Amino acid sequence: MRDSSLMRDAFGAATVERAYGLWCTLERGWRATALGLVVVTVLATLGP
Amino acid sequence: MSAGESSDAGIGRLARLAPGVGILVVLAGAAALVAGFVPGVNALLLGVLFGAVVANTVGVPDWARPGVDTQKLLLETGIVLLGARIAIDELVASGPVLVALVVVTVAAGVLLVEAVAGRVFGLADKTGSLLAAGASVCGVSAATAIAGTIDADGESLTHVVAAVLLFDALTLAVFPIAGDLLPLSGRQFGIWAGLSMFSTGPVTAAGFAHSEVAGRWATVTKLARNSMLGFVAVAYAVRYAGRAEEAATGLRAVFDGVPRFLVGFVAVAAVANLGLLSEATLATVGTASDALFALAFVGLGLDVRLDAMRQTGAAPLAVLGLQLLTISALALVAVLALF
Repeated sequence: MRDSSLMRDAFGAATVERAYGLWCTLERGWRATALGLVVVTVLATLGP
Repeated sequence: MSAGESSDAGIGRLARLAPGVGILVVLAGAAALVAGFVPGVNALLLGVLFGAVVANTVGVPDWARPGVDTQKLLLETGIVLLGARIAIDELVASGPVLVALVVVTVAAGVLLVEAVAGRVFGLADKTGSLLAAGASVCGVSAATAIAGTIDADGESLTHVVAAVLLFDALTLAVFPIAGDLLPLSGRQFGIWAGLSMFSTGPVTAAGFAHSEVAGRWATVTKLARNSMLGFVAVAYAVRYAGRAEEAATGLRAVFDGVPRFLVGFVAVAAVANLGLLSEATLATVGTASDALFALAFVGLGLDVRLDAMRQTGAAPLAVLGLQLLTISALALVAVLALF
């Protein structure tokens, strides 16, 4: 149980790290593209 | 940097943005509230006005600057989401004529400014070129990009930027009024504004202040115009450098001139037009786009600096005024005849 939780934390933190690292390298137009696509994906997933 | 440190850095960055974004939210909310009570007042334009009043009275404190500076990212993300409201078949039907019109107006604008800036108004060659790009392609972004291409000095760029921003504010006030007075449909007004006004933010604001349809067409037309930046940059690189190798790197420069958020805009438009999103999702994406525009337009107002605009000389203003009057008149005739 504890191992599983640690692995999940490690995976989550690593994903956040990769995403943040990538975000920092992007110029504004690519950031807008990424944000827009994330918003559409989230709304399409959560939507009715 | 460890994963934990990276997360902390991200959280710290978000915390720095929060105060400025909070100001955008409060002013946009106040604008929506007032517009809801006062008939005939447009919330988007009121947001710009509120921002301009705050910027030129109490000013934007340093602690709010990082959040306020997200306004261009908010605008571009709003445009990406606007893709969900674009009917591609309608766009394709108008596409060739619209693209031809964009190419002609950009070329005519650049050539006009280049012809009069030096000979008639006595401006230096590079200042004229910055004005030509700023007025004809995409405002401050184009002037800044071309300044790098032709190695213009910082003082010239500062004057040109101030002059362009002054006209952005002026046209943002005048175009919606003209749209109400002229017998134009939403599509006609949107294309006219997209062909004539200088910067993307004011074009989008003026379009949506007129109508939803005008906002969509204004944005699409302006994006087509922005995409011409690469071609204009290559032309100036060749003119000022006069070297063959500049032309050889032309394709790369053309690609570099295309706004990156156009990729997201086209992707979202494709997904929406393929029927992959439900009507409810499309409506929510549209609401998100509107909300981002509302915040971005307040930020646009917060960037209006009257003291900086006063330092602009008469000659750059005269050149931009001449370009605006000529191109907007020609564009109006063309739009009335073709759309």
